[in-house]
Amino acid sequence: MRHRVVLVRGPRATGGGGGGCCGGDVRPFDEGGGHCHTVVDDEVAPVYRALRSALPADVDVEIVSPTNWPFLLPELVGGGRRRGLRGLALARSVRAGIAVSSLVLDGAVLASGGLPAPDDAVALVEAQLSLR
Amino acid sequence: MPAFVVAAVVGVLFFLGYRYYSSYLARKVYALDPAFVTPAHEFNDGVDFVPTNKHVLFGHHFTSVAGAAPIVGPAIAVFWGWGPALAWIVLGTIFAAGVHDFGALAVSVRHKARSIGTLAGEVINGRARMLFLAIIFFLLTLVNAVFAVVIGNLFVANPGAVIPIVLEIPLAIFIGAYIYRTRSSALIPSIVGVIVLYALILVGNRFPISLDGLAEALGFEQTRNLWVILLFVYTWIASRIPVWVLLQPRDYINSHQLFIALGVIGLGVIVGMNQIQAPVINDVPEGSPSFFPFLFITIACGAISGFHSLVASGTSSKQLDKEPDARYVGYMGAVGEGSLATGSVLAATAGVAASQADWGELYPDFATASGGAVGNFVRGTAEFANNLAIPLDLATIFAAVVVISFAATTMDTGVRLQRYVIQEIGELLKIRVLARNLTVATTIAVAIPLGMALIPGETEAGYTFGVLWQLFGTTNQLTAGLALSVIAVWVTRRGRNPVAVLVPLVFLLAMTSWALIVNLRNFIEADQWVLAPLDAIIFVLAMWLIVEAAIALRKAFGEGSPAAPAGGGEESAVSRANDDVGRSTAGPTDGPTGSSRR
Repeated sequence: MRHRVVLVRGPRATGGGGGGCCGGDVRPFDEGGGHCHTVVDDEVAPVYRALRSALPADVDVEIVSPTNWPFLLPELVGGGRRRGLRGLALARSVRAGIAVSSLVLDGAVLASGGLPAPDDAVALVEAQLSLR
Repeated sequence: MPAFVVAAVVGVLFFLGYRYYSSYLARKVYALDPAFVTPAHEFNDGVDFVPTNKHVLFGHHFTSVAGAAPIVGPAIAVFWGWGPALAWIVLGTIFAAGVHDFGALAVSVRHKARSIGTLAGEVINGRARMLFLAIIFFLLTLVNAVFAVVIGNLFVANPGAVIPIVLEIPLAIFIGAYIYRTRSSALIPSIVGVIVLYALILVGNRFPISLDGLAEALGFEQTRNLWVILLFVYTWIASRIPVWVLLQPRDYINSHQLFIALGVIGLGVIVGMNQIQAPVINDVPEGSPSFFPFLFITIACGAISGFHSLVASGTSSKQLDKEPDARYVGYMGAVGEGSLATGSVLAATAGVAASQADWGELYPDFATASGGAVGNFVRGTAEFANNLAIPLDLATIFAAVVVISFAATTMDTGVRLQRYVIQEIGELLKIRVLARNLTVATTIAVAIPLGMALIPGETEAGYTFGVLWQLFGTTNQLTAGLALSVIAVWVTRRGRNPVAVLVPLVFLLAMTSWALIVNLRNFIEADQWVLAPLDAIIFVLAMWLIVEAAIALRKAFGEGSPAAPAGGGEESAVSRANDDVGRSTAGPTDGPTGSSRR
């Protein structure tokens, strides 16, 4: 069975802005200069890099924007239900999973509202995977 | 004819387009390779370059391309009848937008996920980069001008929408601060934000805000113009503050609104069984613009939009996990935009009138049709919402709030992007104050579209809006033409059949040039001495694009053979190792975007 780790992104100081045709998240140019809004390293990136390098290839690691609820909601509801969560417990799990800077494994919320340090995140996910 | 039948037929055609035509493109034209190592893997940094599940990426891509533009154009274009408008949306989506969006993504992925502006310089020639800059400058100028007019008109026509829209700004700022300070879920606060926004509709309905008196006291002939000035003052400020303060949280609210609006239109059409009350082909009055070429300019977004190539090559290509995913993300993004445009056509034909005679009063001539188009969409969508038991007065404000929210976000981002373009031009021309001074660049980015939006029109609705929208359409199609030229050259150099790309390219350039010539004559006859030079400049850009595309294609046809495809721009080291790729014209580099990335 393939496993999926989801990292919910936090705020980004630079980069894309609003959505909408003729106003979406675009980068007209790649080269440097005053116009170039290169995205700087954020809180999620080092955790992502650590997980990606430590985990086997059959574990997917995804970074998801908290606005992408059409993906996040089914992922968290499905994962929660597979773990036997129902009703309020499921709602709480979903709410925790969609928080910015969250760490989710197969729909189970491992960290919410703040990411652990990269090494701790790897240890946490590996420990959970060993139980499955 | 029942609107839901039309919607169902369009849905089936879109499905067939995706199932068969995009499959042909994937196999024969773009030759997607599952084994190809995408830039997301090659440069994986966890920041910009992140291999992303195709469903996650589709969510990002679709919310980046769907907005107010595919609503406005179709609501104007039903003036020629719903048949031509819908035919262009369906055929344009399947055979033009799908090819363009999918192609921009596929080509960018083969070139280190570089943006279309950079690719134009690499694949065509160095001059094409300057051409891209010029086209994108005019596109963004017109985007900001037309959406300021759209919002101004909606505020004048729907004074009940003022309070919810104005208070959405502090609401978004509060939500953003709450999410980031408390690190709580974005879902609940943003849903609460939507609920508060819609609750404010009740307040707005109770306390409508009209600036008629103030505008009269200040000597404005049209109240809309006062709104336009206020909007640009706000946009100047909004484009200067960090994106996470206002723009990102407002996107949270808008992402919900997009799906709510699509759901309301879809469900409302089914529940209400509304009949289309417009003629299939409208017998337009003498002197009206003919639907050849103007239909194909009036509906840009929703049939094909050059802006999508900026999204596809700017951010989506950096996140593509596997090359075959480009088909789903790129082509389905175009289908999603076409679906929104179809909803706009249904709202402006099945939702606004009880009979063809009533509909004819809303669309008696092109000036009235273009000036009232957004209002007609709002009324139509409100009617669909009313089918779902939402009171009509509240439903009307709801629909206006949806459109204004999209348009305002587009303006915020449009001015911000225009600032980047002006800085880029400043760097190229070695004008330090343009390149480095944000205040100067932002002021120029605001002042030019403000001037365009204030050009006097004949009525409150404004003759000017119709022609401004057409000019926006032409520049958007030119952007698409540039992207299609890059794609066509790239495909031809690889010895593949470029017809699927060349047909929409030639069609777009022909319609655009034709429309520009007709409009130029009209502007000169009407003594429109602001619009005439603007039209002439855009026409020169169109001719320049045709010449560059022709030169590049002629060269590509000479080079192209299945055995020895040429470089045509620097592809990544990984792609050079791929069978599909031939000689590279450039040497090795230090990263995906040269030395500037870190």
